Amino acid sequence: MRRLRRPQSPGAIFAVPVLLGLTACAGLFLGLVGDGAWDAAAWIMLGFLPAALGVAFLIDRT
Amino acid sequence: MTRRTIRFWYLVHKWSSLVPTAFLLMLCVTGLPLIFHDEIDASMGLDAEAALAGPPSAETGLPLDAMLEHARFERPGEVPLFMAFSQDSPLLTVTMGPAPDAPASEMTLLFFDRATGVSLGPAPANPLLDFLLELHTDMFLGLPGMLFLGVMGLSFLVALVSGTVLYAPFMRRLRFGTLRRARSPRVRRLDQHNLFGIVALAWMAVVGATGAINAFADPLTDAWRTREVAAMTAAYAGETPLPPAQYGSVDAAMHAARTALPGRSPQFIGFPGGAWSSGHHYAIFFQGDRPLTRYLLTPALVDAATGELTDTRDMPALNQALMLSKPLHFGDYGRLPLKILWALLTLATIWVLWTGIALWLRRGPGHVERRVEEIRTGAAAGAST
Repeated sequence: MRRLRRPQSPGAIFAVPVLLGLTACAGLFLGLVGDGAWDAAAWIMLGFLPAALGVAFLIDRT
Repeated sequence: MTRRTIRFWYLVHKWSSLVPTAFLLMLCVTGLPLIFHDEIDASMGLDAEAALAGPPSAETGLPLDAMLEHARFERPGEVPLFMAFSQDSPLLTVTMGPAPDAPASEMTLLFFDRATGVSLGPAPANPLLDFLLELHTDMFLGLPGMLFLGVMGLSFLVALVSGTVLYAPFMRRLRFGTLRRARSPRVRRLDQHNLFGIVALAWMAVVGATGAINAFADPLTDAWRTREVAAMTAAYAGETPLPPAQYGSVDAAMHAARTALPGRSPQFIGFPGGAWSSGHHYAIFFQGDRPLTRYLLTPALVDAATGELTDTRDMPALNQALMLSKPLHFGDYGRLPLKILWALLTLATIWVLWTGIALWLRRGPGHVERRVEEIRTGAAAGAST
């Protein structure tokens, strides 16, 4: 069904995971740097992780 | 990736996750309520700090010697072991015990209001959270339990690495986030295991690594005391420990330390003979003066008899890593929204562990070869089962 005919390169396989991982790590760090806006940045950046899970479940519900 | 390489990583992933999985589930389940321990304590009226108004105890208030007299009065015959300060309220805590090297089980934590000198009695206890915390930290087995859980945490990190290695060949023909819903329960479980695992990977790695570092906290503190403190107090080597009756003024010691480290705020004092000091010194720990360095402590060792500064030195890199790893493990540095994210990601981790167990429980004969083939061909072979 959703199998791709051509195999993807490692770059394509890990593009989204690496982006999510770097964003989450930056968020974890920014939260330590300060309070207020720094904390809000941490919430948004780390929030991409549960959001990605939610989107995966929504998109596939066809 | 060759079949042999995949087989190797598959077996690494299988065993590095199977061995710690029961303990990791326990850590997730006990960790969930511990994330919210401040909120739970506050809702039960156990937050002593909330009711206090006045300047922070780290900066000003009644003399520290007077506060110690209160503590000695409450615990006659005992000696002070620690004094800790708040950066937010006049709350000041004093830990008392029967001897300078008393074990944690014999210590009593007393609360005081440094602005008024009023005793707030022993620290309020929350038996359920205390139980969960001890289960989470050492499973009631003390240091061996802590070290064991630390090793389980290291095994978890190996499982994360090997799982990520296997993700590459498996996902070659599947887009990120693919959940093959129309397929068998096994395939659906596998897709969820991979998706939850790769999405939560960074967070699981950070919380797993910082948890493992925390598990080795006691040996790291011991190493700091036997090496660094011994080097800082070399002039005192061979002397007998200072008897508690000869402890001098803590206020004088604090003054000497603050002169050496101006602009810094004290977090706690380790008294002579304990795990956090030498036999002769008040070890006054100051936090950094910037937001990022507030988690990093610098000790000033002050001669407990004379009140004169002996030495002050930054902690070694490993001990600094330990201090920074605490907030990153607890998730308590970004108010309630960060805690909620911590809880969501803990639930995601539980789901990764659970789907992993289910995949293992439902394995059939010859499963290793079939799974290796499935990963090698990019989720093709064996996909119908």
